Amino acid sequence: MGSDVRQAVAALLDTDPTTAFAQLVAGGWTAVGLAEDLGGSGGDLRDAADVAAACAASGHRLPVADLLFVTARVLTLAGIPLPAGAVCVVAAGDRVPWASWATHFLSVIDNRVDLIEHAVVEPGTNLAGEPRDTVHLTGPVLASSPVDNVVDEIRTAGALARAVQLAAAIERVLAITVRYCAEREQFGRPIAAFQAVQQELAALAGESTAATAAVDHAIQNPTRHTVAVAKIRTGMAAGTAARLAHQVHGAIGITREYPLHRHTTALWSWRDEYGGEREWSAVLAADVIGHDPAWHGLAPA
Amino acid sequence: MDQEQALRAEIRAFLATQDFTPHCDSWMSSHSPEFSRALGRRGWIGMTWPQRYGGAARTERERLVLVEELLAAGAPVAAHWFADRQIGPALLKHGTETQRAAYLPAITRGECFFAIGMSEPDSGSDLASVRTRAVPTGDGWRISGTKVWTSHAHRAHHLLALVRTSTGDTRHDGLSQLIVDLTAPGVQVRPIRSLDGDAHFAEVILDDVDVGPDALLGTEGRGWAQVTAELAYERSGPERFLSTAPLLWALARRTADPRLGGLFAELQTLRALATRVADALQRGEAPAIEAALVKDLGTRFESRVVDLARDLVPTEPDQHAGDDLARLLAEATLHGPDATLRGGTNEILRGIVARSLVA
Repeated sequence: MGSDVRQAVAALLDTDPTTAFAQLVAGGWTAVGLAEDLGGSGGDLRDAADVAAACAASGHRLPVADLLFVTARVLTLAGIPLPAGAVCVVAAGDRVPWASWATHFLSVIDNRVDLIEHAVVEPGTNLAGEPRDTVHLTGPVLASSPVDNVVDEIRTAGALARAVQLAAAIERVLAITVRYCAEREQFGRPIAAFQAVQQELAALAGESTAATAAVDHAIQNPTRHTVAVAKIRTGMAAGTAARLAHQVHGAIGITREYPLHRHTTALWSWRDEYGGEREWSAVLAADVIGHDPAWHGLAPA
Repeated sequence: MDQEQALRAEIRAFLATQDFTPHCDSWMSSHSPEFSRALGRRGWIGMTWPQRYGGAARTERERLVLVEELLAAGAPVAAHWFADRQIGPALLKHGTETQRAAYLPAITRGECFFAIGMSEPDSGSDLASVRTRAVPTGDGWRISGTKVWTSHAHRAHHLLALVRTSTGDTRHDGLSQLIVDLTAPGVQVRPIRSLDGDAHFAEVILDDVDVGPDALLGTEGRGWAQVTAELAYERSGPERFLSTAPLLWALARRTADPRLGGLFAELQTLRALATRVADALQRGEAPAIEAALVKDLGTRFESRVVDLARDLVPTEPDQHAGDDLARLLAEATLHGPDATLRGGTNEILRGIVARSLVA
C-alpha cells in the first residue's frame, strides 16, 4: 500500500498549502494510523509515514507529520478520542510546533495528559518558517488521562516524525540536484558530465539511501533504539545533503525563487527538533554499551 | 526473524569454542584453513547453495547473519572467503554441471580455496583494459599474462581469471573468465608484502599456461557482464563496514562516551542497507548501484571508527601490543588505505552511482 498512499497524498498536495491542508483533513489523511474508535482513519505506521513523507517532499509547510506521529501517539496512549474536526497539537515545553494552527491542545503535566480547547499563542518560527510557538493554556480541560513516561514517548514519536520528514526531504533535494546537473551547462557540457560533480552527486545519493534505510527500518520495527538510529542518521545526512546540494547548485540555489531552500531550511531545522544527533547518540550509546561486546547490543540473539 | 536470531546464537556459541585472536579486517588478513574446515563441517560455507552441491539451502538473510557474526568476532575467515562470496554464486549462475561438481562440494568443506584474478599491472580501475590473453588450442586455452593484487593467490588452489579471448566491437566484448589450477605448469605466484609487513595479496604470472575446455566459466566473450554481476556480491557485504568492528568493541569497553552512539547509528543503518541487498540477491537480482553505495558508505564509516577511537581514548597504535585497543587500532590504521581501494576504488564507485542517477 506504501507508494499508493504516497501518490494519493502527493496528488492532493499539488495546490496551495491552505487548500492542500483542508483537503488532507477532509479526506482523513491527517488521522492515518490513529485507530478509528479514537476518531482516526485507521491504517498503520507505514501508511502514516507515507503521508508524512509526501507532505515533506512537497515543500509545503504543513503540520501533518506532527499530527500523525506525535498527536496520534499521545491520544493512543491516553485513550482520548480526537474531537471531530479538531487540529490537535501536543503542547509540551517551549517552541510548540504548529500551535497557531491548532484548535485543541494536549498538555502534559507530570505523567498526566489533558485535552484543552483554548490557549494564548505567541507565534514563532523555525528556519523553514514553520510555527514554533509559545503556548499559554487557558482551558477548559475536556478530557484527562494518566500516561507513563509520556515525555519520553513524545520525544521518541517526534523524533520518528522528523526522521521520516528528513529522509523524504533529502530524497527531494537529491532529485532537484540531479535534474539541475543534467540541465545546467558550463564549459559546453552539462555539469553532470564532470567527475568532480559526479563525486558530490554520488555522495548525496549515498546520504539519501542511508537516511531512507534507517527510517524504513524504524518504521518496520519502531523501538527507542531504531528511532534513535533513524534520527541520528537522518540528522547526519541532512547537513551533508544540504551542503552538497547547495555547492552543486551554485548561486541559484540560495535564492528565494529557486525551490531548493524550501527543503534545505527544513533540513537545518528538523535535524535539531525532538533531539539532535547528540541527544539521541547518548540514548543509543547507553542502550548498547552495557553489552559486552557492544555488538550484542546491536544484534541481539 | 526467530530463525535468524537462533542462528546468531548458534554461531556465537560455536565461536566461543574456537581459539583465535580477533583481528580487524580478518576477511583479508586472517587465513586459517583449519578454521575454514571447522566452518565447513557446520555447513557454514556455501550455506545458501543447493544441498546437492554441498550447500545448506539457507537464505541470503541467514548468510548475512553468519557473515556479520564472523566479521564482528574478527574470526579468521580469509581462506574460504572469496570462494564462498563470489565463486560459488558465479559457478551456480554460469557453471556447467561438471564444473559445479568439481568445485562446489570441496569449497563447502573448506578444502578448495579460490583467488580472483582481475587487476593487472596496467589495469586497475580500468578493468576492461586487461591484457592477459587466452588463445584456443583445440583442446582448451593457452593463457599468458600477469595478474596482480590477487588476494591470497599464494594460498589458494585455483584462480578465476578475467582474460581476453577475442576482440569484439567494444572493449567490453571478448573478455572471458577461465578457471586456472594454480599448481599448473607455467604458473608462478609471488606474494607481495603489504605495508603492515604481511603478504595478503600476490602477483600471478601466467606463462603459456594450458587449461582444458572445462576451464571456461560461462560464455566465451561475455566475461565482462559476468564479472560486473559478481561485483554486486563483492561490494555489498558486511566486510565493507565491519572491518574495523573489533576496534569498535574494544573502544566501547574503555569508554561510554555518548559519541559512540553516532557510530552505532551508522553501523545499524549499514546493516539495514546490507539486508536490503541480501533481499535483492535472494530475488535473483544483482543490485550493482546499491552495492556500490554500501561500499562507499561502509568504508568511510570504517575510517571514522579509527578517528573516534583516537579521539576518545588516546592510544599509541602498536601491532605487537598486548593491549587490545592499541593492537586493533594499529591493524585498522594500517589496513585503512586498502579499504577504499579494493573491490573498486570509491571514486570509481561514485562515478557508477552518479551516472546511474543522471542517465
